[in-house]
Amino acid sequence: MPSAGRAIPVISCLLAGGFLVAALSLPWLLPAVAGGAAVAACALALSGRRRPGLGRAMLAIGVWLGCGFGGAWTLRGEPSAGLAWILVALFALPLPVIPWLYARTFPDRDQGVQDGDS
Amino acid sequence: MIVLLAILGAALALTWWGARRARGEVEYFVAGRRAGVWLVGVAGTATAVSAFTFVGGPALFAAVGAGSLWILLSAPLTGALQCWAVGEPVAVLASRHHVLTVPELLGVRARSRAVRGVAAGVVLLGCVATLAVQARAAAVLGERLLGAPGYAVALVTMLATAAYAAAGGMRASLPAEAVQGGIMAAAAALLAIAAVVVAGGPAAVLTTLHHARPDLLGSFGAVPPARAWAWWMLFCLGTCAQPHYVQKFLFMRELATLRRLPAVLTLALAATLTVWLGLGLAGAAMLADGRLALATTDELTPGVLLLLGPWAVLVAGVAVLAALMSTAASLLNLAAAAVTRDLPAAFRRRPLELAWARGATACTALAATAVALASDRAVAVLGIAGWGFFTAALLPALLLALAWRAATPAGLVAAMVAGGIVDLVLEAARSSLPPGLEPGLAGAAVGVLVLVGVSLLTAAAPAESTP
Repeated sequence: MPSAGRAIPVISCLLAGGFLVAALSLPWLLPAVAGGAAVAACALALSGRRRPGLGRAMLAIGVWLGCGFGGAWTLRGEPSAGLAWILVALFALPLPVIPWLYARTFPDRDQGVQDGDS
Repeated sequence: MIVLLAILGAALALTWWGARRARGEVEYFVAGRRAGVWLVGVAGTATAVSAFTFVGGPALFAAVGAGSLWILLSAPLTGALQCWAVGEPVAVLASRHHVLTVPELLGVRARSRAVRGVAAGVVLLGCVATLAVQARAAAVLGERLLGAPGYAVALVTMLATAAYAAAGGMRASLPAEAVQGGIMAAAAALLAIAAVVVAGGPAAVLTTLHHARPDLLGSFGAVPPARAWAWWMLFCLGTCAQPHYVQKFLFMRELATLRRLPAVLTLALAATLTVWLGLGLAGAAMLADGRLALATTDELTPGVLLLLGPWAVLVAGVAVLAALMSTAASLLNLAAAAVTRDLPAAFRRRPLELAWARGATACTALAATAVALASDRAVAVLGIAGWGFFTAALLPALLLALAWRAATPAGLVAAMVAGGIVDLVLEAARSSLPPGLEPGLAGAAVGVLVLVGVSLLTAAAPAESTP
């Protein structure tokens, strides 16, 4: 697995370039870029910290966004079902879950939080 | 009018209270660094929820329907995202280096005065733009609900906020924001329910829209899906780049506060955002069945409130004033800190006295009010533009500088300048852009590429001395 020092600039540039290409000419790519950028930003917490369960939390968020965006696209022509999907799947259901995931992966005092600043 | 006078009275009392307590710069700029999870969380939400949510949001729903909701659909994630990506490193750096401002934070991380100075310029410019949204919303509501001249209401509201923000700094503003956040959440939920009930209930509202305006429903309403996803991304990632959000992490008593912070942020934000959906759905249905007629979509919120009755005008008046005053107070404090601490430090000067900070607060409030009154853009468009500028200029710097050790001062400066310029240029041409090319995101994307490229090119250059 690449170190954070290499992964961060490579992934950042891929997402930034991907956004510009998608926004200008490949709009169907935007949900993948949006979901990927959100998960990648959350995953910055992985740089230099020992956090059991954080990887699985990122995976869960990625799956949620994939299902949410996919369902929204599928139901885009359904007035009631489409609105209900985005309100329930993308807003109401994850409201209690994601803060719980954060609290669960918050490092205990003895694990410490290192910011990499020396 | 009585409500306005009562709030002005409360602002004066707070001014007196704050002026007695905010004597040192730690009290003035970071509220003594003693805040717990509820104070930071509810005040953070109050700062996040501006007049844009109460006025611009429902108006945008009436114009483009469910597509506007993509701006708020990232709310379940943003609390945790902020803490994971920004909050934890900011809290550690702040306690280790006794940092008081966001530009100072970037300056310390990059060990560069230039980074601090450019960040201060970005913060000052963005604060004036975002403050203008608050002043514009006050003008719209004052004209429609009070029948008073918009410029007078905007000026009085901004100066009242400037009074307590200038006198007491964040020592006065933080508890005020927490109270304002609680008021906003309760009022927003109440107004949302009342609006839907008066419109005939959720089923009747949906039936009306289904028959008269089906284009407003569905997953994306009348918004191209590419724009909806761009909005989601802008308002999700952008939370990490808003200095008035990041500032809250400087106020915390201890790092452990972060564990429960996303829960408080998410709960308070979700309650407040119901007003967007409730007023938007009900207002759009009443527009569709002819019960409401508007000259501009910005008049949707005042129009629905007048239909609900005087009690709703009262509740909404308090909530909207709370929303715009809480956001404005934080922004005014950031602008004052940029002028009196960060810019002098960038030029190797000592920080200016608190008296200068108080003067800078008042001048910023006046400048923002002038911008708002000179602009004919809708509140929603102004809100997206202000948010986008901070995202474009600060997102690459804040995310990468805190996590990637190889980011160089030259890279950070170039990224902030390039991101800001790209955003401003594209913002001027917004109407001709492809739907997914949101100026703030495009600026941030260019900023990331510039930051990484320039950092790799200048990696061997020696760093400047620590400010």
